[in-house]
Amino acid sequence: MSGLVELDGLEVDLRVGGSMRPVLSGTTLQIGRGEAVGLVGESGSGKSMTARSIARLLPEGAEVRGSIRFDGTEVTSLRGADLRAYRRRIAMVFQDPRAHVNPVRSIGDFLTEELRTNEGVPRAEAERRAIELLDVVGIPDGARRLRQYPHELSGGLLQRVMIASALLSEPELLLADEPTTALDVTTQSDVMALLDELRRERGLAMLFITHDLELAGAVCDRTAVMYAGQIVEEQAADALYTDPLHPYTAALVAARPDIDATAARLAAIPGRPLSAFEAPPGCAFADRCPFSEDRCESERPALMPIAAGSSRCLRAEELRGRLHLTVSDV
Amino acid sequence: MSAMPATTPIETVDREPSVRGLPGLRGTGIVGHVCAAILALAVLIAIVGPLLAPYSATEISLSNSFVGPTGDHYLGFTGQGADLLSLLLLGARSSILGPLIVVVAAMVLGVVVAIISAWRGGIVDQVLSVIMDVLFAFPGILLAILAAAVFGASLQTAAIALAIAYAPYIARVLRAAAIRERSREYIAALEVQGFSAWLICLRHLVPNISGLIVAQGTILFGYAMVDLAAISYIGLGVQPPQPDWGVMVAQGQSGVLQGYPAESLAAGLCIIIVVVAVNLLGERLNARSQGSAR
Amino acid sequence: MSEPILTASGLTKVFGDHTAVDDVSFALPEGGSLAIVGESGSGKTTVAKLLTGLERATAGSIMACGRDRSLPARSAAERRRRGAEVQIVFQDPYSSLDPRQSGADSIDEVRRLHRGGSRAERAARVTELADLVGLDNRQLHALPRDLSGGQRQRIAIARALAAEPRILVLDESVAALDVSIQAQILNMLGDIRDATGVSYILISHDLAVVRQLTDDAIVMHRGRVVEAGPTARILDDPQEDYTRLLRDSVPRPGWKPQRRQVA
Repeated sequence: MSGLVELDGLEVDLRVGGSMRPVLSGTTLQIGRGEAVGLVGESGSGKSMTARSIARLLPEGAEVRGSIRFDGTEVTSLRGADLRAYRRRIAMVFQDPRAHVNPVRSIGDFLTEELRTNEGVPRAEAERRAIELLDVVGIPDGARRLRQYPHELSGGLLQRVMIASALLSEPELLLADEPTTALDVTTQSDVMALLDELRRERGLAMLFITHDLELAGAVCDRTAVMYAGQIVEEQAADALYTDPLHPYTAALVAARPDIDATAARLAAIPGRPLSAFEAPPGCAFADRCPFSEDRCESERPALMPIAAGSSRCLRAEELRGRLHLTVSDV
Repeated sequence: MSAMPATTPIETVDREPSVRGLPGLRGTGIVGHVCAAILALAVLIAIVGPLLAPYSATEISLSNSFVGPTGDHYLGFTGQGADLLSLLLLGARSSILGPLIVVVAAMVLGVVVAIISAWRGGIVDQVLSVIMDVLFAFPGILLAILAAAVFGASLQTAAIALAIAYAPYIARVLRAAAIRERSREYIAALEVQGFSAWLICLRHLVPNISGLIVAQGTILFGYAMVDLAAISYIGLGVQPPQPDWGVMVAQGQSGVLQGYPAESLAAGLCIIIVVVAVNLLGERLNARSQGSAR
Repeated sequence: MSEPILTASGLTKVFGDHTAVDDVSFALPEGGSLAIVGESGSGKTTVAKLLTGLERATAGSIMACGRDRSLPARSAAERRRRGAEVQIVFQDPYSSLDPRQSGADSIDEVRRLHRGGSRAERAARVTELADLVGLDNRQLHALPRDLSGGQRQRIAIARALAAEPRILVLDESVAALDVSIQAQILNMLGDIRDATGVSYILISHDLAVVRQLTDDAIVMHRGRVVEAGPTARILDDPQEDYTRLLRDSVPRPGWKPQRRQVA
């Protein structure tokens, strides 16, 4: 599997008030062609900023260091026509489809605009292709839907339209930022199945951002866990539960209530998740970690390969295989 | 009715540091502060003007008509031979008090209507909206002329008429903000606690739209000042010899024709300075209150 | 089982031509906890509004603490008494606090309304409530904008408990919180129940949260109750197709998303 996207030591600072504030501090990640990578973390961990960096959609005045390569080309320095050409090779699906669609334009206008203006496809032909695509995303009566407006569609249907729109330009990479978080759980299952199927059929690579470890496990090949602007663990998606490599991952799994059993007490993680700008000099998770030692406070761990993945924990080797058992007993 | 998280929860506290400035004026920039200073000065003159004025408005000597500045009379004399500087200082009071009455009355009326509309909604809101729309169609000056015809020309009559004409405009702007605030869950939480509606409005809803109320009031002040000056100019507001900037513009008219525009110009300039300052400040306060409304 | 502290019978709410809640009945035993489970459009949030008096039922009745609350309160005293019986915590910690009021002030305001007492007595009670929800002195006196979502939700819970209600409606109260914070709040809600004997109505779409916090559950779909019973039984052995679909849609290890036909 060759690398389609390679993030190397990506650091991003955003302007907040008068000063610069880090939101990513050294994110390193690869996404292979046709590979689905999950990016899991709590709020402020930097997962959305990672996707926005790849899409070159960072807010005005953002400072980017490190490198983002797409198909061998450095993305951070692209300008003008090159940037537009690059953006046609990626597509994004967001959490709230309503915030990303013009409410006063019909679904038909929304889906065909790009084809008609940028590629000069005649309206009839563009609409035919849009109807075809709506059928692919599980919306059968496409001709009628094209005449409808966003407010006439349910959240689930609108998210399907967004997926159709994302596929229209035949991208190579899909950035899906919590695409089902705002949907009902039954609709989520449905939309995720669709996304998974289409992605596999088309050999599309995907960066799937979610706060739900189980969901990432179900549709991704590999999962990376983010904390305070860094990736703290990365390995095969289905191994995160049984063999977590970082105490944070193990703690996250343990903290979640279980649908199959009532716990006397949940294994809550003390404190609150930190953002990159709040991270202490040592390990960012140290003050919430049940395994932390003195050196964890002072020494910032690097993301080191371990087993079939990697972990940003000084004690990773030593704790291997015990984490998921121990955390829930703490 | 959706029960899904509205957005990814933001657990971290991430707030821009407040921009430096006086507490009430924070975020209005240097222009806001300068405007506020000009207004403070105008209000000060309105209060203590009679103490500062070297001569009284009734010390008239027709032999001084249109005489230019002299050693004791820094701005010279009006067409009727009164001291121009004294007249400006004395006229500040009614020129500023008038719009103040308009603003306070219009704001009270507008806020009450907006809050009732937002709180009750439904048929009450619709009826109030129709009444406001009908009133909205009346130009303020027309209403003031009608009021002067019926109740006699005076500053009070003109001010109240203008306040009634402006209230629908205020009500309309504030209604939207009040409805937005009404729909927030802290209001529902207070209702469930058993607080009465008027207490919730007084203690929570109104203070949370106070930024917009102040901003709208400030902008309204400018309009009211110009309209009242116009009404006084046509003789239906402040009655001479009571000094007033609007009256002075009118009385200076004969001087303008004779090549002595000092009286009209000076009074007009006072009006323009105050109105521009008030509008600039109002716009900045308005922008700030919209920025903080999320 | 003891006498129910809350009973809803034949609850119905019609908005225009849409029936949001259709003949819903349930009972909450004193000190118990009942989940109302459903997706968007199920009517569960409307039930929460009916229980707290934010909406008026088209038909049916609600009895809480031995008193009927189906009709709007007629007097200020009645309104206050209802406030001291049933309280609510909303989902969004960002809009459920007055942005101009610190936690201490909003809790104090509620104490003043319901229990009165001298300034010192009230202050002592505010501190007690802050301890109960795990807030330190600085957080208690900070404005909401300076607090995190989890801290705000703790204040909303303390404010709801300030009137010492017998029933607390939790309307998706942990749904917007991060996993690690959600676990803290769920543990805290368990502790509060042990300490105060308050009964919970948990409105939720999250079956794992429901399992953790409640003894009984009703499952709502399009305004109607489709299944009712002990939470563990409903989740382990769902009897209705809809409950089963809901159960099977929850991601878990080894789970694969399923495609359904669009309605």
